[in-house]
Order: sequence, then structure tokens, then C-alpha cells
Amino acid sequence: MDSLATSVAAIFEFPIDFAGQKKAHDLLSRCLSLGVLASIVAGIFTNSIHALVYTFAASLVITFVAVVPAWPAFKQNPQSFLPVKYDL
Amino acid sequence: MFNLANRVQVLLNQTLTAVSVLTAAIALISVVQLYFAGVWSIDTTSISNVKAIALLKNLRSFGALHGKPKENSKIAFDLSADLTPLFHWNTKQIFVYLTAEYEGKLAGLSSRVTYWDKIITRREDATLSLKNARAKYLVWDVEKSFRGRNATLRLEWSIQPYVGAFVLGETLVGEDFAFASVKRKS
Repeated sequence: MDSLATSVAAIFEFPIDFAGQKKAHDLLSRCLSLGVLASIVAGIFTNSIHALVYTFAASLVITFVAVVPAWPAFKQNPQSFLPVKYDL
Repeated sequence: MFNLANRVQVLLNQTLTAVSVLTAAIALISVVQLYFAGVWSIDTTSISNVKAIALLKNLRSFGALHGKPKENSKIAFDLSADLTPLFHWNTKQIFVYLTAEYEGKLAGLSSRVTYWDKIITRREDATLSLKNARAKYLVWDVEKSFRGRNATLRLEWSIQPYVGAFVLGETLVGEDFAFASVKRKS
């Protein structure tokens, strides 16, 4: 019998495939670097460090939404398993 | 990145890296901006009408030790300065202090004392205009008297930024005056 923690973890698994993992990782790096650059530019042009912080927070929210859920785009190449060779 | 928890973890980890890069960038860029804004070459400050007063104090809290009286010094001065360039997007507040520098006991060494200071938290308050202001602090030397030496008053400042290191500097204007001496009854 599964413990409660294991069954809860199973509900929130949301797996993605190998190609999707690489895609998600690249997207994450790109979003965060862009966020850092955009917030520095925003801070300098508005002359306010608060604008910088809010821009960075917004970029974090966007990155979270783009990367964390198991979007269909991350499940385009499902792993095919080897066929069973022997009858049991 | 295979499941939800792992993706959240990687995101938080990368965020930490991004925040440290951002912090370092702000600290560096703001100092460079201050340099090009010319904050180390403000020469519009004017210190004038300096009147020095000397007092003899017997209290330990005024530097008098072992029952020997100590000569204390205070001044009155006029000051006008425009420190608005010090306020930029990474400035939280500035600390402005008026110091007198004079030759020390040993040749080649100088002593510095602070007569007056002020914390400025808003750009609108960064234009100083004081008439006949009194020193906030009584100062005394390690020796028992200032011996009427000549001193140079300077307005120094320190920027406390939101992010990054303290930035120190002074305005380029110095005003000379001589310490007053106590008139002794003989």
C-alpha cells in the first residue's frame, strides 16, 4: 500500500519527455537572462530601483508560467519502449 | 526537469544565480554612473564666515582626564552646497559631514575632527543653505589644546546605496580658519 506522501507525489508528477526537458531548460535560461537584462534597462531608464525590482518579479512570474507546467509542447516526443521479446 | 517538483527546484536555483548577477550589475553600474555624473568633482560648495570658539572643560565626557582641563572647540559657519548629483537611482540616503583637518602632533600626520553632520534622505533636501549654523559637536584634540593651529574645513559625504558598497567622497572646496584659544586669567 502506498503511503499518503507517495500518492500525493504521484498526483503532482506532471512528467515531460526527454526532448521536452531540454526545451524547458533552454527556455528557463533564456527567460531569466532576458529578465535580468530587461530589469537593468528598466531601472536605468526610469531612474528607479523599484521599477527594476518589479520588472524582475514580472519576468520571474512569466518564466514560472512558461517552464513549470507540463505544457503539451514539452510532450511532443514520447519515449518508445522496446517491444517485449519473450512471452512469459 | 522530468517532473513538476524538479522544474520548480531548478527554477528557484537559477533565480538565485540571476539575482546575484543582477545585484553585482547594479552595484557596478551605479558607481560608474556616479563617476560620469561628476560627484567627485563638485566645486560649487561654499563654506564661509567661520567663527571659532574655544572653551575649557573639566568634565571627563569632554575629554578632561586626571583632573586636567581640556580645551574644546566649536565653530559657527555659513554653508551652501548642492548635493543633488549624489541622488541617483541606487541612492537610499546620503550622510554629509563637515570636517576640519589640521596638522597633527607629528610632522606629516594630520588629524581630522567632525563639527557637523546631516542625514539627507530625499533629493529635494539635498540643497544645503545654512546661515550662521552652529557646530553640532564639541571637539577636542589628543593634546590638551589645539594651540591655535590652522585648519581646513571640508564638506565630506557618503552615499548609502540600496545595493552595493558605501561610496565616499568630498567636495573640492576647502575653507581655512584658525582654532580659537582660551583666554586664561593670570
